[in-house]
Amino acid sequence: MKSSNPSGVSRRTLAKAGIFGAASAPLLAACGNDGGGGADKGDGELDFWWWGSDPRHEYTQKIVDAFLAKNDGITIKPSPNEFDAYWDALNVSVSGGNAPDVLQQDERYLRDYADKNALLALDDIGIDLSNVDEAAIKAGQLDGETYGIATGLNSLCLMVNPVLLEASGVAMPDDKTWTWADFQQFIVDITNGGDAIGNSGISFNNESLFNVFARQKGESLYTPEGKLGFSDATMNEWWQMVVDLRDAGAIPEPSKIVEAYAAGQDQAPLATGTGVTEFYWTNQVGAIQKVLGGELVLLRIPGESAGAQPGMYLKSAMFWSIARSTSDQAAAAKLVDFLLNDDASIDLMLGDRGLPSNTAQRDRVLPMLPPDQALAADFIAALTPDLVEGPPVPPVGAGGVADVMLGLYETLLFDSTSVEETTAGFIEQTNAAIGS
Amino acid sequence: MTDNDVAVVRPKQRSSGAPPGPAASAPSMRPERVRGRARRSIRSRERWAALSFLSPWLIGLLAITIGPMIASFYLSFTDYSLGYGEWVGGENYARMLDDPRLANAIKVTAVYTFVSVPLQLAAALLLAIVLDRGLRGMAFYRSIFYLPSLLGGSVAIAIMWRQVFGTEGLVNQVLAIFGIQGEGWVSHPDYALGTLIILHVWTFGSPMIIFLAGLRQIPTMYYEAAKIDGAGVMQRFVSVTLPLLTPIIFFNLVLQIINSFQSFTQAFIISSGKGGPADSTMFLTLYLYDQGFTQFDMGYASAIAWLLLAIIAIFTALNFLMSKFWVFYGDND
Amino acid sequence: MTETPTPAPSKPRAKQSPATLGVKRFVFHLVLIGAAMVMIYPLLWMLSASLKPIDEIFADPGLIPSTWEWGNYADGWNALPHPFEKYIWNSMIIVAGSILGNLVSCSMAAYAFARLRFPMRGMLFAIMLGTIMLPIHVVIIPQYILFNNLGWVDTFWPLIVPKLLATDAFFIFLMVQFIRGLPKELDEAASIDGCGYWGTYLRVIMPLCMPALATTAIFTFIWTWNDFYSQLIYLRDIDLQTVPLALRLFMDSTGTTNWGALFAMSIVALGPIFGFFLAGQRYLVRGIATTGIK
Repeated sequence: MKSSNPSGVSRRTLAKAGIFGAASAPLLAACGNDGGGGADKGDGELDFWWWGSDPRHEYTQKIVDAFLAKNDGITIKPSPNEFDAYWDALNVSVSGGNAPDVLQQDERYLRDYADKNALLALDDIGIDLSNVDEAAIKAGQLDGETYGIATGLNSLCLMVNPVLLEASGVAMPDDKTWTWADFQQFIVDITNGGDAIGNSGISFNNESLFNVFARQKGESLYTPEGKLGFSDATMNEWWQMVVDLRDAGAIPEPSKIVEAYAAGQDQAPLATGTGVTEFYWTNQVGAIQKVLGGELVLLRIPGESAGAQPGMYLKSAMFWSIARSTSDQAAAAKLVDFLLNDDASIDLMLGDRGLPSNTAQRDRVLPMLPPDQALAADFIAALTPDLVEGPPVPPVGAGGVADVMLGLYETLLFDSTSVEETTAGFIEQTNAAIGS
Repeated sequence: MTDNDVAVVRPKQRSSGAPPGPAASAPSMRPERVRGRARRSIRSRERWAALSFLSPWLIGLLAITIGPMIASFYLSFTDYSLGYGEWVGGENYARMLDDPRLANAIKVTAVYTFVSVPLQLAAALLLAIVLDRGLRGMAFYRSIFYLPSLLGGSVAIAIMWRQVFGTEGLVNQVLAIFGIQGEGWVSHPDYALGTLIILHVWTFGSPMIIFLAGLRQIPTMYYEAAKIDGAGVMQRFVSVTLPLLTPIIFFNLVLQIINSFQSFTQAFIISSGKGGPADSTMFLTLYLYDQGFTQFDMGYASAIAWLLLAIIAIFTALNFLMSKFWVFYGDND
Repeated sequence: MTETPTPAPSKPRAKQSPATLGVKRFVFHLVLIGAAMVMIYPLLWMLSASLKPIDEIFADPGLIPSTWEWGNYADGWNALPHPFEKYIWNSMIIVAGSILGNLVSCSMAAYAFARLRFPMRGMLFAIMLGTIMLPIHVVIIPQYILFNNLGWVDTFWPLIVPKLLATDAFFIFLMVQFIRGLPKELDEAASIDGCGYWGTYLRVIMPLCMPALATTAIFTFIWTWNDFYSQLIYLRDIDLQTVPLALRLFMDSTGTTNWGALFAMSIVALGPIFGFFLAGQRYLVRGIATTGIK
């Protein structure tokens, strides 16, 4: 068992003293993290955490083996988890002063952990960032320091089931020019034209999608200072669109939407073949096609050319981060460097953690991608030239905003509140969550 | 019901009817009756014995329970989050007074507890009595009825439950036979809690097993005595089974109330832990979890935990106070 | 037990013809079987899902798969970094330690609370009950820090040692209730026969407590086997992960979930607890039959 922070000894002594140890230890952990990250000569033992499902666990284990084969004197304790469980375990272990050395991070939580000094700045510790996409590096930066390096990139898109679309007799729109009004009409027409529902209505509570909408108007969900950055009118317009779609019967009845949302992507209408379109991240297309047993077409978000600026952006699928308290900074940096830049790593990872953020590697593996990942990669490649700079890293507390928006959306769907009340509620609850 | 209904002897008064044997010890030999110094030494020996029997529990209590409890009580006065915290005084407690989501969570938890616990215990007791009759195939039924409790809060149950009570689920298909147009039960704010209550009742296996074990402990001679006195099935149930089962009923009641106040996995089943739709299944524990683990506000979460503890303690204390009027123990304490 | 097979009162029973009795019994079983179907439905659903191809699990509500995907089982067994028996083995170690710990430590504490007089008994009993009420989510971080400082993270100790120290107050309460229901005269007789407190505990109380002990063992098995949260937090190393953790490894809420394997292994995971329950249940019945209280 390694002692991962300098004050470990004193806390251990206290803990042995009995209840006072247990009582005072949590706050001592606060002191423990401060001096971390300075170890020159580490112990070569790395805890490496990631989330995912079994194919990712399998190839990541192979990447670890490949890394160990090239690096004598380093041992790795790999720990795979499922997404929700991962965050529970990480919260407890960071709070308990026993953070994993190398870990996956997510946009929503990056700032929370970086702000609590749990993460190490990755700029000058020997990780080669020369080939990494500029935008991908920026996405993990806070106050000029890099706390997470994007593993790969994704984009939101509208996935369409072409077979069902044809059955409804509606033509595929031109996604480079279509507006949100076109989108509404599109959905209404599909619903009226066939048995399947036009859109399953489970994304209007997605704050990233709303962010695209706001950015198209020259606004944004969050400002770089970590405040809310959109006007009431913009959000009212957003909710009004939902209400219009609902009243037109173009999206499922409220309880079905809630049901589909809670059930997750694999049981939602697009995957079960009862819905024609839904907004998802590009890296989800493979899983949905598999459950659907058919092909999907990816379209751009509406309104990209009609507003003040394009709103879509490339999101980091996830980040690699290193704990500030790591027992071996050099070894941890080596591992992250290997994960990002080594052929052996990217050969196994391909597009599973997003389209690789290392542009040299991206070009190298593009021809090797399986069909579903190639679909996403082509979409992103075509989109990239049209994009403007991405949004800033979300503020502390942003992890709770998804739940806030979901709760308000559900209430609105059941017609218990007005559009204006929903907007006011969002602003009030989000401000409380992000502490502004 | 009075003691004189039927000539059924309760253990307390049993000395007249009990068979001879080890149970019929002479009152004069009881330790209390021994005088003077001998009595004191017995007392002290008993204390030391008690200490030795209790020592593992006492160590665990101090190190694993009380210590962390004190720590969490301390945390409830800080803004602790991910390893950092500063003293904020009673701020977290003051914040509770002005937190509509917390008030809602208390309401949801209370409704859930006071509806589902009596229903579940009634189902458990009914099935236990039916299964205690010694008919053919009872072991089989017993195992089947226990099955839902074995499954725990597994992913499969969550998915199955959503499908059964979904808009096009089994329940609505059955209702459709009778011409009733069903709702999306799990996803409608007015009904979602109801399906969780059904889920809770459905897992009546644990209290049922405890009831069964309790029923088996009731000496057959009481029933025989009652039968000789001409008591019918219902009468035997009311005057023999029920009174002798009261400690078990009490045990189950206390535990199930505590359990349902702490319900956590159930709500994950419907809303993946979000408390939806529209906060209608937001249990107190779920809100606590949301604050501490999703919003990283462990200080406030600790304060909520202490509120939860206080609520449970009050109800348990009430339970114990009321138990004096209806629970009957076989020993002489 | 000498009970009548029908719910009818004993007096009118004499007037019932065997035919009426037969019909009643038939209806009785019919109702029970109906109830059993409701209880068993989730298992059937899970079993059916475990044998379906992935594009059919959610799209087709029927219980009969169109093709039987036995491959889900082989796939699930081998899809994770370790073959599935490794996770079962890890779970078994924790379960065995927990059962042993709970049986010994909880019965000792229960005997003291139920039978011995000592200062502050009422208060300690109230504290013991109080600990049942403690919500786990808030003591979890202080407890984690304690075990981390002992160097016990990534070992089975944080999961087993608390059981050896009787922190599952539920079982103490359960056994106190049982022991209090036993005739006190038995203890006194043992005391006259020269048994000390330990002798009484071991030779009189424990044998009579078989049903409570069996109940404790069964519940400990089930709860430990299904426990996800504490195992998640203390067992991070891939080599130490247990069945509930392994089942989650098939899932990814934003990516590919291996549903077929997930359901297949859920069925496999049910095997040991159901088996233990069946065995324990029989033992429970026999245990009662051999005790002195009939």
